[in-house]
Amino acid sequence: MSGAAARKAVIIGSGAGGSFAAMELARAGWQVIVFEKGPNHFTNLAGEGPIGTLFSNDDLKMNARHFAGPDPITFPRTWRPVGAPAAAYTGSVDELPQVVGGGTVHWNAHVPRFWDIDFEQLSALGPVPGADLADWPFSYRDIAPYYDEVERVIGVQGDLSATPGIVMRHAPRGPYQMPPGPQQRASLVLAAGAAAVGMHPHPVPMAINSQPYNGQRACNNCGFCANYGCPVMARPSALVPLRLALRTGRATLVPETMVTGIQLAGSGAARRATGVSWVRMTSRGPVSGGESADVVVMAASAIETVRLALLSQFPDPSRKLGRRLMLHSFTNGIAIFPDERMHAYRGRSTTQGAEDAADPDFPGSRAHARANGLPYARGGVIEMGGSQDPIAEGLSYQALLGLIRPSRPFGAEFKQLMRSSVLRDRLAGCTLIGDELPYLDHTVTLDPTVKDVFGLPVAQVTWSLGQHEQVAQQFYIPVLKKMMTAAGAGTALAVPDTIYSGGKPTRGHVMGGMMMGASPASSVTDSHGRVHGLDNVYVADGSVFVTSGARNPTNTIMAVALRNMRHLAGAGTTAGSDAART
Amino acid sequence: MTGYIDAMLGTLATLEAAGPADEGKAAPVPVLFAGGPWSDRHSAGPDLMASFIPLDPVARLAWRTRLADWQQQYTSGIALLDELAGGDFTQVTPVGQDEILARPEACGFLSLLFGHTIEGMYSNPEYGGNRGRAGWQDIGFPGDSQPLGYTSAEVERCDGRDQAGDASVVADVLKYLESL
Repeated sequence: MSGAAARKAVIIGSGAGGSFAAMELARAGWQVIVFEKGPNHFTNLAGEGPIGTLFSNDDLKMNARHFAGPDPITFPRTWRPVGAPAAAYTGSVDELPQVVGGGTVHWNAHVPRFWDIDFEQLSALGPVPGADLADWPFSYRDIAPYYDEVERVIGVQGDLSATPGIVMRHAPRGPYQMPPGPQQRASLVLAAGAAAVGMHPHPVPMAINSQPYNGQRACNNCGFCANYGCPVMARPSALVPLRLALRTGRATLVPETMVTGIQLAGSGAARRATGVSWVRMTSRGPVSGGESADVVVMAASAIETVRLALLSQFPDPSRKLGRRLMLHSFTNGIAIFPDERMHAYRGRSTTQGAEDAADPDFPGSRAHARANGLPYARGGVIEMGGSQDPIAEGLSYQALLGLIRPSRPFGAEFKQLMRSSVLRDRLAGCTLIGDELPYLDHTVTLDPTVKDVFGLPVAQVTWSLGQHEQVAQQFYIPVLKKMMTAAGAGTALAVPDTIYSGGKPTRGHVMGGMMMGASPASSVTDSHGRVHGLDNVYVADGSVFVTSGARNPTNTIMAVALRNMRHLAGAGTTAGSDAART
Repeated sequence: MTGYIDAMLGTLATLEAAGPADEGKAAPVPVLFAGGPWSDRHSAGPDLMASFIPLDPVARLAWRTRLADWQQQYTSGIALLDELAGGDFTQVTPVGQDEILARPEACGFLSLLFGHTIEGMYSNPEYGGNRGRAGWQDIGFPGDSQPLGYTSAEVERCDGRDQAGDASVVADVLKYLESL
């Protein structure tokens, strides 16, 4: 891979990390092929002007029928509770969209930056019994320029003057590209409650256009936001760097094609990839093939990247490949307002948030942690606003009527509930995205029996809510209830996601499994995301995360991918201390 | 609601009829994924949601499997209802039908039927249920809003006082939630 001839990269995945990898390498003169397992629901990706899309305000298509996939019939996963002898569940487990654009076609586009202490969690906050804490191979100061660059590319709205002091201390930053858009009523009401109990809510940074940006339209507040594809491309996200890659003329996007293995050759220090094998479904059955590569970049998202590494029999000198899977600790707040319709079906899903609960010194939390044998009990960012849509609401009442009206769990009373809409139009939701510490026994492995549509073993996720996360939830549940009550809610509930799910992980913040670090003895990828022991295989998704950061991961996935791919492209880094450290 | 369920199950025949040679070309498109990016409800038209999206080959396999399973569940579920009715379920009085549907033996089929009824009632009308937006109008939900969206004022404002009403089931649901 030396010399002036264009180097050829195969990139696996077209989401947050893969799109930035494609942009960076194609701009640096590389030939780039992006394989995407799922279909392409966009038009005019490489052209000028607005991108076209088949996404729409359609609850059924998105939330019941797997339009953005993966369909659990063809691409299931399994879940095994920690310590259980076998999988307890087969189906959808923390799935992300399997389409061109990856997780960024359905995200709420909330882009808080990780804090300085997230990148130095072991040295800043100390060890936690049972957890495998470590520092990242770079600091907030090192990654900040890449956050800046990612934000310029995809466009972010926010209000610097309203950004609280604690956020500016831990993640200092400059102005946003766009001012904040309209604030959802449900968000504002909850934010007032948060302020009343001493928190610092503010309009959250979001990668949604409040003004036309990059040739794409401004958001018109349609209300079908998180979990939907944007019908007007006001949230183009990964499609922007993907378009920049395609426009070089050196990048090719290959949808509906799953990479099934990375071919390795050589031994010892010379062990390297020669290319990838792929498979594609046709009406006559599967068709397979191969693609050679000078460099392979894995960006299939954490769980699928680990699965592919295991299918490809990667070396694992640290014994950490597939370990330290982090999925965040979600607590769901439900504030019900019997006297007002909150109309959360209008506007972006979440417009206000607070980062106070990400502070390990949140008043009272240290004492609660110590009483439970831990040095700290950390929450995370609280997203305020949003509700559920009518189909999910109806299914909620179906379940509730089965419990409270077993003799007639349908009919007129179901309709009364739908008309009252206590669990939709009178609901203002909030979510605490709690820091999940890395644990060696939270893993991705190959399931021993379950196969996907192509006959390949699926990912088995072994995960249960950890001790720190349980202790932190105990502390923050009353905090959330106090906040919602102060906001005027008639009924205020705060329930960990795992209560609804029966212990199964939820939602799709997937991080870890290919942890970055300087030493092959204690990490899977090196300080720039290259797999230890493989000369030319890089990872550019959330699997390289060392900690989970207590907030939405996607913009950090983008920033880290950009940093590492710039290093690969040989363009150097913009942060001197970063280069010196590694 | 039979319009919705018929449209959904009817696509099984469409998926099975598609021969191996066509690769989706000229074959009838199953009524599973409504098109986009919007309908004619807030635009001058056409209704782009009325043009359904062809399924990729993997999605076709998944939906053939799922629909064949549901069709079997409907066939055996309807037979069960007739059996519990001691004849033709549809000839039983509405009160009698409710009693049969609430019987423990019918629990599994009721769950499937109720779930699909909810989907049909509150999904976009292009899918065959929610005719004339009757389901949305009944609950005061405007449905899809593109390409119009909402104004800043509509997003931010308080819509005023509006009582949830005094239906006992609403109070019982709130009481149950508060007990959690």
